Order: sequence, then structure tokens, then C-alpha cells
Amino acid sequence: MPNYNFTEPQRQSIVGLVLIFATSLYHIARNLWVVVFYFAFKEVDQRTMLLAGAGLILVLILSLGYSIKYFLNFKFHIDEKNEEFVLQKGVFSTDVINIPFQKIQQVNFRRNILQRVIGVYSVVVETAGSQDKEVEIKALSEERANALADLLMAHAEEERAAVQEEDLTPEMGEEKTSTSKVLPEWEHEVSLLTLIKLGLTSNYLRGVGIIIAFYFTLREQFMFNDELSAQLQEPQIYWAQGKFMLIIFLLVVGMLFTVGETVIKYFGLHLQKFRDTLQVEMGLRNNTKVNLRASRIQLLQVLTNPIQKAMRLYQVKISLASSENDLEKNQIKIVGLPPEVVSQVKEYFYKNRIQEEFTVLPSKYLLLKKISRGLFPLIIVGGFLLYYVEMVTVYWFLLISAAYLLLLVFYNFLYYRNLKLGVSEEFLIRYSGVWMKKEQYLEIFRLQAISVSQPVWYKRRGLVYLTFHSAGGDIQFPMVKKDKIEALNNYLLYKIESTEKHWM
Amino acid sequence: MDPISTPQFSNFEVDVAALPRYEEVELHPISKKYLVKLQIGTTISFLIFAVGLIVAYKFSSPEFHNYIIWAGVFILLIFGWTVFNNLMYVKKSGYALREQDIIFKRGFLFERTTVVPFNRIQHVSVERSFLDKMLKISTVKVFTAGGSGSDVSVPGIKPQTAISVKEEISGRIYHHA
Repeated sequence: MPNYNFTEPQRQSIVGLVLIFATSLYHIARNLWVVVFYFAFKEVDQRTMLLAGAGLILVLILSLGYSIKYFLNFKFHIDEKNEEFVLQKGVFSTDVINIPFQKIQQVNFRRNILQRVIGVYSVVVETAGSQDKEVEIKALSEERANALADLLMAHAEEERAAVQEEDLTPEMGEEKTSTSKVLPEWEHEVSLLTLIKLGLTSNYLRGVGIIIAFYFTLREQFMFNDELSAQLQEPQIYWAQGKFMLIIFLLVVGMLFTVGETVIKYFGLHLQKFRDTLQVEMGLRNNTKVNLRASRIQLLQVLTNPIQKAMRLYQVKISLASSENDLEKNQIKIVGLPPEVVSQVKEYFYKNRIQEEFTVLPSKYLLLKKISRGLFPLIIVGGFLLYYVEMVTVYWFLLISAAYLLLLVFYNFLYYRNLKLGVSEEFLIRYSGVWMKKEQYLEIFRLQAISVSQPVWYKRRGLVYLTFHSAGGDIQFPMVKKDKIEALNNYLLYKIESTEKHWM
Repeated sequence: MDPISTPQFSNFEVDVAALPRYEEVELHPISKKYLVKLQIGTTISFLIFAVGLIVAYKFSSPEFHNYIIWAGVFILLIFGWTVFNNLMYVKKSGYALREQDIIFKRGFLFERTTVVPFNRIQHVSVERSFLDKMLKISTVKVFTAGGSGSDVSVPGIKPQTAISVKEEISGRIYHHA
């Protein structure tokens, strides 16, 4: 591997120019497609044609000039003395971004199709600051990208280790040296077949919903065109003829859509465990490569539904610290894992085996509340129908409400039964889910704060809601006895306050 | 049916019963001047609605008058409730600093207590709006990495107290970092 010197300001790989130019052309095309449409359908005389051609050439030359200037002005380097990563960019004005090593959260790789064709990587530096959440260098060769990422992560870890040294964590010191990539300790690849299976066993309703939404936006877009809208009205005739066929058709399309989406998103999902990082690579259209370090994981979730469980397909969601409230965005989803790999992942993130000391269960009033809430729509709809519309017979109404009631009770019973909070010496584990079973793991020392809330009307019964705040999202637990839970909260606070481990 | 039975706690290395209890801490009340601020805000928004309704009454045809009167009654009820709610909110809310954390309790209908340990606080600030300056109160804001849910902002603290609370917390964050 050639030695790269990142201490001097330097540019991206020269092929990056192609990428910048292509991106700017794409933006122009996206903004001008209406004009192109106009020319394609309207008859134009030669003079306007000529003018338009000249204009187009001018735009092309200008954007080429802009791209070259952008490429030349885009420079980055590592400033060892000030312990920061520096990036300069801008065409008309110069923008300098300085990222101190200690603010660096993650260094990831990303590739879209064009980047793959020209053989470059995007290096994305994620920071913990509230502004400029991430900085992207769009075109580096694979080797250079790797070298830069390793160096940045090594510096970031070093900075962390320096902070931690006072806290007496000796194992941190040796991590510095392990920057070279060797063979992974273990790896796991998710095959295309697994992804198809996963797509087939996911929720298609989302796919159906997206298609319906897509249909309506399309219809709205073309409504100004009378002829087209007349054509689009026709499905309503078909609708009357074959509702059943249409529903089947929608479900099939929704299924195909879901499978396609799953395959595109997770294509070539590849996990590699190195000495101090777990590398996750995936994606067909947008290929990303993320290096996860155990020290940065804030919240871990394991999800599966009964069918997927039988097919040994588990999903792991990993939350990293995020400065925004949009916590979903900073989650990394790894799908289609067999249980052994899930436990390998857990083992890496959490060295010690998780042993639950005791379990907290919600009060039985939760079940009562859920069921009575579910009765509201029934009462309202029922009342409305019985008083105002006489066409509904009592027989049908009773039949439907009996079915609804049965479903309601059954569903909420399962919800209530599956909801529990396990407490181990180092973890909080929340189990939940009726169809999709979810396990959330939160290390106690990563807790940021604890909230206890109580609506006035639960005061008499002494029931409270708990919220455990972490930097990767909140964990909520409803309706527990206040006097029973206070001891737990005191214990958790004691654990947070007495820990010397840094949460990030 | 007991969710947690106490004997199981003895598995831990600490005696849980002997741990300090956050529920037993005496809370400092927040200033009554904050109540004045809340009531002023409520009254202003009520007045805006009232003026809107009066104008609507004047300029609409008589057939709508009935509806407008009902809307007025409705808004008056909400106003009354909000005034009462403000009163209870200020009465029920309070904060306390312990050696290791800050406790903030607020709310009347939904009472919420948040405990933020000092070693999880990112930064602290003291803020004063125009009205705060007139009433000589401040708001102390405590920011964590846990998002808005775990951030705490304690209103209605005397400016000098607010500054010293802030200094105290900053000192302790520094001590931990």
C-alpha cells in the first residue's frame, strides 16, 4: 500500500472531475426538463432552435468551468498540530471547515452507481456537532479512502483514549496501534436468496401504500391534461367490475415492490468483524460501508416476526449518538441475520453475557386501558349508525362488533403479555411487540437521564410511565407501580453517577 | 402480582434501600413571577381571540350570531381552564440540585419528573426573554445528549440564583469531564 501523506492540502482524485461535472449536469437537467418538454412538443422555428442551442452550449461551458473551479478549490488535509481535519471548498467564496479529532464520530464510505463506474469512493466524516453534521469528500480511490479513514479514526480514538486515560481504562491505550486492516475475525454475507425471502415475509402493506400514493400524485400531476385524466378515470370502471382482481393485483405489485426495495437496499450485505471494528457494507444503488465501534453504540435492537423467526431471519438495528432529534436517521439496519450471527454481533458490542436479575411487568390496568381505548371507535361508530342510519341491521352490527371486540382483546392481551423490562447488572432490556417482536438493549451507563411521568388520574392507583433517555433514542415503559419502581430508578441513577466510563 | 419483589434486589453489589431517594428531596418552588408571565401570555392570546370574535359578530349576518356566541363560551371556558392550569403548574413545579444530579418536576395534569446526572450534562445556559427582564426572573436550561426529551429547562428562577445554579452545575460538569 503506497504511503499517503495527508498533512499537506490535497485534491480529490482527478476522475472526481467527471463526477462533479456529471452531478452538475444532472442538476441542470432536472431543473430544465420542463423546457426540454416544451421544445419537444411545440413546433419551433429555426431561429429559436438556434438560440436555444447556443444557450445550451453556453450553459454546458459554464458548468464545465464551474466544475473545474470547484474541483481545484476543493482541498483537504489533516492538521496534526491543531489536531483537526481541515476541508476547504467553494467556487466564489471559500468555505473552510475544521473538524477537531475528538468531534469525529464515524468515518464511512458511500458509493453511488456513477462512483462505482469510475471507481471512486465517497468518504463521509460524521461529527457530533450540531451543525455540519457530516462532511463528504466525493472522489477518492479505494486505497486513498481507506488510508484517510484509518488515519482519521485512529486520531479520533487517540483523542478519546487521552480523555479516558484519567479514568483508568488501560485497554484503550493499545487500540491506537491497530490501524492496519488484517483478515476479519469472522464475517457473514447475506445472500440474494435470503434478501428475497426477507422481502417476501415483510409487511407488503407499506409497498401497497406507496403504490397508491404514487398513483394519486401521478394523477394529480396529469390532471391538467383532459385527455390523460379521462384515461385515468377508466380504472374506476374496472373497479366496479372486479374489486377482487384489483385487490389481488395491488397485493402482488406491493409484494414485488417490497422485495425489490429490500434487494436494492441491502444488496450484498456483508459483515466483517475486525479487531476493533465491525464493518457493514450494503446497497445496490447507494453502496455504503460503515465501520462500527463498540464504544459508540448507544442502543441496540433485535427484531423479528414469527415467520422470519422460523426462517432464521433476524434484524439488528444499531443507534449511534446523534445530535439531532431525528434519531431514526442515525440508525443502521442490518437484516437477514441468523441467530448465531446476532449473538456474535451482541458479543462484540457487549463483552459480558447479559444476565437478567429481575423483570418489571406493566400493571394490569394497562390491558384495561388499551381495551377501553379500543372500544371508543366502536361506541362512536355504533351510536352513529344506530341513530342516524337505519339501513344497518342490528344483526350485522352485532356480528361485526363481536369480531372487532374479539380481535381487540386478543391483540391487546398479546401486547400486554409481551411487554416487559428486564434489568441486569449492566443493562436495561425492553421486550415488546405483538407480531414484530422487538428487544431493545440499553447499557445502563449510556443513560442520559430518567423521566417519570404521571397523569393526574393515575395518582390514586400510584401508576407512572418511565422514560429512559439515551443518546440513541428513548426507551419508554408504561404503567408501573410507583413505589415499586422507585428503588430501580435510585439504583440506575446511582449506577450512572458512580460510573467512570464515558458514554461515548 | 408484584412486578418487583424487594428480596431480588440483594443480588446487586449495593444495598438499594440505602441509596439516596430522589422522591424524598425537598424541591425549591419556582417563582410566583413566572405565574404572572404565564397569565400574561394566556390573557394576550385570549384577547386576540376575543377581538376576532367581536369583529366577526359585528360583520357577519345574524344567522351566524348563535355560533359565534357558542364559540365565545367555548373560548372563555378554555381561558378559565388555562388560567387554573397555569396556577397549578407553578404550584406543582420545582427543582432541586443534589450532589450528583439535578431534579426537575413540572406539570399538573401530566406530572413529569426528570433527573439528569451532572456527568451526562453537555452544557448549561441562562436565558431571559423581554418579559423575564421586566419581571426579574430567568430560565436555566440544561442540555444533554439525549435529545429534547431529556433536556431540562427550569423557568422562574431569580437571576442571581439562576447564575449561581449555572455556575454550580458548570463546575460539576467540569469536575467530571
